[in-house]
Amino acid sequence: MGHKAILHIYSTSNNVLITATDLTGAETICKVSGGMVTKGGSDSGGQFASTRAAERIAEMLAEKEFDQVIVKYRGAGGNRNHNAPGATSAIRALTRAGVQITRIEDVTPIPTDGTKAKGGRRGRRV
Amino acid sequence: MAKGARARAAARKQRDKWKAKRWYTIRAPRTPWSFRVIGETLAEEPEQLIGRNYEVIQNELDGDFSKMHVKVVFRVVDVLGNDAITEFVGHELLKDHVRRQVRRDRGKIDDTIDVVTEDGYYVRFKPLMISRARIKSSQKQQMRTLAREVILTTGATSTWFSLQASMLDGTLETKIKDAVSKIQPVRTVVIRRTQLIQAGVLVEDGPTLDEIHAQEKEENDAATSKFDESDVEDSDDLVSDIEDSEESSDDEDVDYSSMTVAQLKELLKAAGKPVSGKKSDLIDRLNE
Repeated sequence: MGHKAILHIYSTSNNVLITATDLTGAETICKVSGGMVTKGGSDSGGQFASTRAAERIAEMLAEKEFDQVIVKYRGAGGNRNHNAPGATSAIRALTRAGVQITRIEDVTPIPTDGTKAKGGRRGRRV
Repeated sequence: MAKGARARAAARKQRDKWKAKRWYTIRAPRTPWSFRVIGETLAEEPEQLIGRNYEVIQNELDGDFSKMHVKVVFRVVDVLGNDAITEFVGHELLKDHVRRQVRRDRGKIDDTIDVVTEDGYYVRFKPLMISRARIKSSQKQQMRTLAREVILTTGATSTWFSLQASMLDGTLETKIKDAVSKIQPVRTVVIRRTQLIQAGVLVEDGPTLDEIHAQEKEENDAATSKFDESDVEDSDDLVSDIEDSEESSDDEDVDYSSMTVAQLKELLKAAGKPVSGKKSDLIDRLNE
């Protein structure tokens, strides 16, 4: 049986960074970013880029004899919305590439205090 | 194309480094898990392992299906050969599990409590209580005080290991629930997170690592049941050769520290001394 890795997916609106580490999170196995798999700068945060990046990292993991992963995804965090736009498509691409996912965890840093988000009480009015 | 060439060169460098890394087995603490193998990690040097945190779901650790949402955290404190020895440094509930409990029209009571155990361990507790209905803040405050009292008294009257057991199997949570239910019925009481801030006096019992190794070896031998004495002997020599080449700087007793534990034990047996303990203990005993 192959080894197990943690797959850290950091997905923002501008880019997606996928880093595979060992189970302690201290040793990086391989990493891919959205910009490495697309041409245009503005595409690199999209669903397509995260799919491609996930496929690439699945390939790299298979090469190093890893077949199981724990997925830890995160968005940008802070005081605005916490969604990770590339995470779902990346996870879907991983399952299709034959990587066994044992656990999926959201590790978006969510503040318990801090400053108020911009836009005011009734939001941005356009 | 220059970028591609650079990327390829970088990839090559990475791969070379990859080959230099070795796998280490992560073992759970001696009490109460008796050095169970819980995972693996890799490093170039064994010193790099010290201080690494390893998270494992409690279900995987104890086989308890009601604990699918509890992460137990271990920290590597010592490396012996291929084994990374860990200590328990706390636990944490999965974020999605906690967030599912919090709803509208339910009271949420959060707290952070620092406890010093009987044996001097300094631990931080983060309990979370969710009431059935919306409650007044004065009630929340009372419930918080009660919960704090329970945790502080249990902490002060128990050792770190018994406290660990009570927070992992839920007896502490039941205790808190009994105390706070007098004020308002509560839906859930959980210890959301614990962190070991500072360690105290360590008193461990249970089988030693050498005994566990012997047991594992026995099981392996029983499974394969085809290893000659000479084969084992050879592999021992090989191991000691490797260790020789790797660590050549040991101030005292180079011959003892370069030997394997098995060989040391043979010597101890010949000298009529006890064969238990760490390798360093064995060497000390031989030097006596």
